[in-house]
Order: sequence, then structure tokens, then C-alpha cells
Amino acid sequence: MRKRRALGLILSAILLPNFVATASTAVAGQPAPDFALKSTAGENLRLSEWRGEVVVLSFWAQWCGRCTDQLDQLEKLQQQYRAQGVQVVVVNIDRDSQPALDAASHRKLLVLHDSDQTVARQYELSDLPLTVLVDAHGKVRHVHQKYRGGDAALYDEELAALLAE
Amino acid sequence: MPMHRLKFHMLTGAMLMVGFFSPLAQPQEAIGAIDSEVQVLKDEVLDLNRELFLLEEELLFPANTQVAVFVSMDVGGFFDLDSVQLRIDDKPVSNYLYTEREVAALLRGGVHRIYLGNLKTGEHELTAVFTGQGPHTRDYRRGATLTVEKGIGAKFVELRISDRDSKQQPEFLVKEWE
Repeated sequence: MRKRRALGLILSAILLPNFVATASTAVAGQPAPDFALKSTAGENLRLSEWRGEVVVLSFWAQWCGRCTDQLDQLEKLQQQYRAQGVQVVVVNIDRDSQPALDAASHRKLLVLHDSDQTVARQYELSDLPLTVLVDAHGKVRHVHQKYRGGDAALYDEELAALLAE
Repeated sequence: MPMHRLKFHMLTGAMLMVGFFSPLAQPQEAIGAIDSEVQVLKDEVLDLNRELFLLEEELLFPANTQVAVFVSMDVGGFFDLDSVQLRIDDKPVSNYLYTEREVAALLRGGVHRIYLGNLKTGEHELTAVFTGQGPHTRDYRRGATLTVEKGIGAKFVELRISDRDSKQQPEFLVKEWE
């Protein structure tokens, strides 16, 4: 037993740097990088505080046309799944806070503002919109870059599967 | 019925009952054994995780260079904490946004480790900037600075937010722990 434990410690010491290097990116199966951001309502919200719920995290910007289409679909998903424990969180990455405020006033969505794009960098954002589905244990389960018309059905399917677990 | 025949029937019945119930009893025992094995494994994983955590901290932050900064709150009636920015030698090292739940935990006596890092021995300037809402829900921003002398051994610093009743204002203290 002691040998096994020692082996485990050695292996972990070797693997730990790799884990640390990948822990800050949205990789399916890895813990979702935690963050706290201010919502358009002015409150500070932390991703890990939704542990126990399925979170749909979506990064968007005003200049991204596809993002607007996606926001409409995310709003529908939020209404459909809210009672079942799904939280849709949209993160605006514009420097100016106005687009985020506009989105929050026109849509029934929880809008966070990442003005200095710290969280976007944590998730290695390279294309918009970036949508990350986080399970009830805080693990990244699905990552989607860009948005096409049929993607809403795919999100729907993936959410249903996550809720059934 | 003769006595020896009655005894024979009773014995046969008991043997049949044992034979009938034992297949049910065996899997339950096996499940119980697996359960206890799983529990032992869970305990081992927790122990291993704790050892790893300590090992990681020891490797990354050796005691002779380690500096830890904590945030605590006492009462907090005059200040609604939003965030704390921490700078060491004019270099930002931490910027932490506090959620409602975290502020509630601080008010209940919790202590939050906002920074853990390494510093060389010698003098260092530590500046903490607290933002939030002060009395009459006005936006409030206040800084507190402390020069710390880092010697051999770990250094612990506490950033304490408390109320100054006489002035009806919050108070921000930076305190060193040996």
C-alpha cells in the first residue's frame, strides 16, 4: 500500500505541471476555469457558485453577427431549461459596457461583462461565439466555436443528456 | 408422530431454510464488503490528495520565501466589500472580486487567502486597495500600505476590514503575523 502511495505521489509530481498548464483552458473533461465577473445588474458572480447546476457559458461581442443569432437561441434554451437547473451565462467581451447593458435589457439572460478579456484569455478564446457547456460537477463537457443555424438543436440534445446524468 | 421423526422434520426444514436464504445472504455480504472497500479507497484518495496538496505547496512555496496574504472582515456595517487589489513592490499580484456569498462568509468569521507567493528576504511594500460601498451606499475606494521585512521563514499578512464606530466609517488595517 505504501509503495502504491509513493508511486502515486511520484506520478502526480510528474503529471502535475502538465495539469497546471492545461487547467486554464476549456478542454472537455477538465474542470472549467473558475472566474468571477460583474453582471450588468452590478453583482459579482463566480462560476463555481453554480456547482450543482448545468451551466451554458457563452462569450460574445457586439461586432459578431452570429453572436446575436446565438443569443436569441440561448434565451429560448434558458426559458426551456431554467426550471430543470440550467443556468445560461453570456459573457460580453466588448471594452465598452453598453452592448452588455443593451443585451441585458432586451433579453431575459444573465449578462456578465469581461471588459479586460481576462476570462476570455483563460478560456483561450480564438473565435466568437465560444460556447462551453459545464456539467453539475464543474467539468467542461462540450466546447463549440462559432455558431450555425443547427447548433441550437445540438445544444438542446447535449443539455438533455447532461440533465439526465 | 414419534419424537425422533418430529426432530428429523424440524432439522430438514431448518436445513432447507438455510439453503434457501443463503444465496440471498451471500450477495448482500459481498455488496457490504465492496462498500467497505470503496470507503477505504475513498479515504486513501482523500489522504493522497491532502499529501499532494501539501507537497505541491512545499515545492512551489518553500517556507523560507513564502508570503501569504489573508482578508478578514469584522462587523462590516459601514462597508460592503466589492473587491480587493493587492500590489507588492508596485506590481499587481492579485485582484479579487468578492461575491455576495463570499462576503457573507467573511462576515461570519471566514478568512480568505487572497495571495500566496514567494518573496526574497528584505524589505517589501505591500499595498491593498479595497473597493465597495461605504456609508450611505456611496462608492468607496481606500488603500492601505505596509512595509514588511521578509526574513527567514514564512510571512503572513492580514488585511482586516473593520468598523470605526466613533467616526461612522470603515477601517482598513494591514497586520503582520509571525
